[in-house]
Amino acid sequence: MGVLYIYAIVDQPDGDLPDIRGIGDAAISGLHVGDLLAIVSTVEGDSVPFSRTNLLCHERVIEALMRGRAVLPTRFGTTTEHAERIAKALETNGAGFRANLDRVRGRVEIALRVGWKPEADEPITRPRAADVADGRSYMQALLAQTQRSRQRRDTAEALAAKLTPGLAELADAVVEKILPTPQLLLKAAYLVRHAHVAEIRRRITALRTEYPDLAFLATGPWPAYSFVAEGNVA
Amino acid sequence: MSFQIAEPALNTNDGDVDSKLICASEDIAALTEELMTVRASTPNRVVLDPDKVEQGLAQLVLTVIELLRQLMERQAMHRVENGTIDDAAIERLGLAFMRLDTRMTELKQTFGLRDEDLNIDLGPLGKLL
Repeated sequence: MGVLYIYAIVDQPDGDLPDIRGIGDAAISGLHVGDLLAIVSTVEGDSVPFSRTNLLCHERVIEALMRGRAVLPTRFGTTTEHAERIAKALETNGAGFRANLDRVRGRVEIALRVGWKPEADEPITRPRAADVADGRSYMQALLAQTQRSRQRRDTAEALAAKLTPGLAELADAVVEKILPTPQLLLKAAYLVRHAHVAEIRRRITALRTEYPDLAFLATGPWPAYSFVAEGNVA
Repeated sequence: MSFQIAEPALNTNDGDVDSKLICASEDIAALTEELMTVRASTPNRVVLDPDKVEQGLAQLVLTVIELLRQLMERQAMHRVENGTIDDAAIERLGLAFMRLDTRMTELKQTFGLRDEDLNIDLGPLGKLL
């Protein structure tokens, strides 16, 4: 038994689809509802394994679509047994999809991750009841943990505030998370017009030189993976 | 069915994706390790698989308890910092939080849950805790 694998929601339903094969070398096709098109292919089984080959194929299909259209990429592994459910989702949430397509049209995502080594590099962990003798000691340990966490967050926010404004001003939308983990200072995505890609790359590279103690990993341009959440269909 | 965001595939050496690299610090090993931590802790959604419904419900209930515990602890810390609570009350509150911590640890073990399982992903709203 097979299921439909969904790559993206796109506009321009009457245009030609790119000449590219989908996961498992299956042909891609479009499910057309109004002015929206869901790009799908049939896959064997009821799900798609999380593998390097499949991930790259998912990405390539989406990037091929981006050459001629606005694209809302779906999360890797999105499948359904029934084409009618896709049609219903497109119909019910058409306005949201269209608004999101307008938002990402002509734009790409630049991803930035910045690692740091906080002072003392000591993990801040919750006190465990088994480690203390009485209620007062537990409260003191909790208070110390709270204060250290607050101090570390303040330091991280101050540092991130120096890094991000120059990038954010080039972006039409920004998703930033400060300290998603203790060692990761910043996890950010910037939605930028094609015309701004070169400049944001230059600014990120300059930041790396300016802050040699931080570890930078910047990638892109990507499909606007981080900027389609408001079009989710439950 | 839901259409949701995904993480760009950062950890591949494939030629196509290498062209996506804008810059990477020399000391990138620690950062990529940390990114894998983020990735590993990302799919925190309540499990409602029919075969694991008990664990899914336990995850949901314990998540709510954890949220309440954190809120109560923050309020207690605020009072301690402001000096609006006496020593006897500090001891009582501390004991209550200790017992809650012990009980939560037991329940998580019973249902095979980790701390990060209680920080569920609420989609566009972000993480719960």
